Amino acid sequence: MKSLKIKLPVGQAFFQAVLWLLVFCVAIEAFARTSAGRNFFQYESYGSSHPHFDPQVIRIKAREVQDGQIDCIILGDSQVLYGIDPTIVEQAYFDSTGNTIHCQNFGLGGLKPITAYPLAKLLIKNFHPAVIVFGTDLFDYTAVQAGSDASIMSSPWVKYQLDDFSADGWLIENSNSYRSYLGADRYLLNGEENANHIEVNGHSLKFSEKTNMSQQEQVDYFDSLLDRPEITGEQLDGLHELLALNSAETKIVLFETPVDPIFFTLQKFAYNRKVYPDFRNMLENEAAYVNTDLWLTQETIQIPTDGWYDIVHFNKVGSEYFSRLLGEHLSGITFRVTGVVWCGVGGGGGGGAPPRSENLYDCPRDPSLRSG
Amino acid sequence: MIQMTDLFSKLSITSNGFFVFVLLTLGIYYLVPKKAQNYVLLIASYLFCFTWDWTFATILFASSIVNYWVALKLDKAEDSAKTRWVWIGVAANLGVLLFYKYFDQTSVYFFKALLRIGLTNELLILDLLQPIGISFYTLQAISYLVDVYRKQIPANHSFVEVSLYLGYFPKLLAGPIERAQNFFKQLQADVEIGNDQLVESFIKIFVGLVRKLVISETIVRMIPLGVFAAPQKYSMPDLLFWWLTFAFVIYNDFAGYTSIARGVSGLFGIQLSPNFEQPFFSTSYIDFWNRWHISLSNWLRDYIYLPVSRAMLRRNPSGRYWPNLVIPPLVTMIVSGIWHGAAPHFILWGALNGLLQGYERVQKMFAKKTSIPLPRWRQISNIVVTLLILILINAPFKMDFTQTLAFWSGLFRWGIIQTLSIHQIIKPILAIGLSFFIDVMQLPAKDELGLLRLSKPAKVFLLTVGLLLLFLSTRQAAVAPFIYQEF
Amino acid sequence: MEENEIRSKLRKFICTEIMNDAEYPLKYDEPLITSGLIDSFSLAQVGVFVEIEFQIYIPDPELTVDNMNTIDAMAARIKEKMG
Repeated sequence: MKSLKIKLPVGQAFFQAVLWLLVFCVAIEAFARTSAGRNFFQYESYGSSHPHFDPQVIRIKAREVQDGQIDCIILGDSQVLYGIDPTIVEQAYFDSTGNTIHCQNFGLGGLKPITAYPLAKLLIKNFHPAVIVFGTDLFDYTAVQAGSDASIMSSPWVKYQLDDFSADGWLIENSNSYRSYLGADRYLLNGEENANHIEVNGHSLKFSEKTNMSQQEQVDYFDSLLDRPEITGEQLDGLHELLALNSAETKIVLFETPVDPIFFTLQKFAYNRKVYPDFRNMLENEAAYVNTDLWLTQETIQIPTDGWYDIVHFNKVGSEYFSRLLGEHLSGITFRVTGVVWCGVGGGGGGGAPPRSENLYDCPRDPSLRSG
Repeated sequence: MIQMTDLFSKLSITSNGFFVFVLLTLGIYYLVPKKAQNYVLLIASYLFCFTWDWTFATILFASSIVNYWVALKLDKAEDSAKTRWVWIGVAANLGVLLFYKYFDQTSVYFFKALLRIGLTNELLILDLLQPIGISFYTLQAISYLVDVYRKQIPANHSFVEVSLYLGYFPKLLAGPIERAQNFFKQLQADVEIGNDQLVESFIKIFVGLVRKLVISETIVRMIPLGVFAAPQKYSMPDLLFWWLTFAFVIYNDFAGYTSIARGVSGLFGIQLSPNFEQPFFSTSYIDFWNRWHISLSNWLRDYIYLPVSRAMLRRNPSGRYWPNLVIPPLVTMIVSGIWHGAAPHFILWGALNGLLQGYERVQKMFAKKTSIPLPRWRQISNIVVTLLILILINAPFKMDFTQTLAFWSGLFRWGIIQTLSIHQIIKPILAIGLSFFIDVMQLPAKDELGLLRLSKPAKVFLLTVGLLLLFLSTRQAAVAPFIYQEF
Repeated sequence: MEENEIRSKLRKFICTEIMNDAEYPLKYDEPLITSGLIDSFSLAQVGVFVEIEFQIYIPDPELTVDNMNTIDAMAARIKEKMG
């Protein structure tokens, strides 16, 4: 008993509003692309709620602009984020080889192999590093309380980068003003606390000293966090896929992020004493399968006793110590070198090497000096 | 690609799937012969219900049959049998409501008591899912039966119309609670939907979306997770600020929902009742309840307050006898509290509001009488004081008994956690400003159509801003997961 | 009963029993509820008063602000019910 009698035109005000909205969007985007606009919009976000993701993407992009090329990306969880200082890795590498490489830390709290794999794909696609150094340990493969993976993988930009198209993802990739809106929105939600402690090279200095928690509190805390220590297939698949990305263009190498030996006193390990040897065998098999480098550290390296922030993370002392060892270890691995300059010992041949520079950034970036 | 099953799963009133569903239904509705239109609405309503759970649709259907049948019985029965039938009908409706809404919640207390005295060693929890809309269609069914019993309306012989009265999809989830008389009239009416109705519906939907998505959801995201769960940990400024903003969440969420429901229904030529009349501009507690969730307040007035009040007055007609002033609103608001939920804090909530109304009536009794309007500043201060007291008194609407006490005492204490920072309060304050702006715009005609009465450039400007805000608010950052020292 | 008589009875009842101010110069067309002189809850008292005084039952749904905001409006409704 109802009939429809619409006379056109209808809703002109609405359609005018849509037009004005489009005009507004174009204008604001044009402004955001000017240098004044870039200064005006201070914040940026790539659509993930992970507290470290946005700052890490922003920093790696800035680093690429600054240095032209990123040679090595150190990927991993909070142990990498807080524990690896890429500047020290670069310096150690330089000291060993005389070659300059640009290393960036891409550590994200709670990152698991299953998410590291798609992220590595994304990083390779965008930054073409010569090597991705993945830091991992036993606890990435045992059932642990829900991590932060969803908060990374739900970013429309991450999905877009992995060929899962969405309007949001496209906008984040292509629109400065949209990224700025998301960034401002995130700032209003969280403040600046998340980003401030992450350095330009992706290393976080937040855990520089020692935690307030007692050792027993920490042990209890992690005991409550861990399920039974069994290696789960899901994370194993993630590692497997990640290693399968190993290519002539980008080498994928593995290292074990050590924990304080006290960690192995957790009660949960009573369930399965064999889990650590199993894990070691698993890593060795996986690395051998793609013929890449694996550096086991838990039982081979002695971290200074004052090097721990807590029972799983390095503090400043520990991170300086371990980063140097990592740089030295990397110097023994061959990978495609890009932008490496002749600027130190161990290179060249013929009539005398150029003088060694104390600061590796003093090295001239001259293609004619490049090593062959 | 969006999966069809995802698009049409659990249709809520702001989901994309819902708007696709409405457009499809509208297309069919205006294409079929007029006699079939109500059938289209009924089928659509059941499909809508099915997207939630098939059992919900079954319960709704059973309820429709019972109420249709009891009303017919009531119509024909003799006086004494009539009373029996109305009680059977009301009891059946209440029984289903009590069972689904309250069994699990209340049985916990019951079985805990048994546990304590050792009569049982396990809790019986049925894990019942509360059927969508059951609180709302039960009240409508009861009012229908009582109205037929009181001979205010005849029983409806069309099963389709009775089923639609209970299950009509735009109002199924959360009302408005319609009166049978008004709703049947709408179903039977010959209405032509022209440009004006289309535009009005559009504005209602638009304003509703702004209230729900831009205001309500923006504030909700900013509220710290634990602030109402563990109020004892927070400081006075935190508690006060977040609870005041939360009042705007509840208001805009519900007013937004109602506005969308009214707008969508208008597209089908059926006008649903308004639920809100700028309640935050109320000058007294009683005034507030006449402007907040109006369809529920009206229901409570007609089926609880007036019968109770009249029964008491017949015994003692004096208006100066204080129980006559205090007890009827107290009983009414306690019933309202129980309707809202089975927990003790809802009863506390109802009792407090009832007492507030009773207090207002007694106080009015002794106040100097005048109908000369108060000076402007007195009006405004009255509004502000009324609103603040109401919001603070309404803490048990959201918090349970112990949380409420912790919250109230927290208002006089400096707690451990102080989260308030400038960047955090910007968005909630802007959202509250927008809420008041919309209210002021709606004030002159007390409806959602304030936007329509503006000049064309103002209209275009506000539509542009509204569209931009809608776009941006659906793209807000998700709240970060808790990451401290995970590996 | 004349409408005027109804009005004056209503006025006396409202002023003395509801407003508690017998001296108040209440006009027949003065808004009662929207002006805040009495609240909408008091309509229950009016309803029962009408039942007792005029033997007229005003159903609950009719006891609304729209129908009963002035003495004039109340009287008209009572007169109508008296037939």
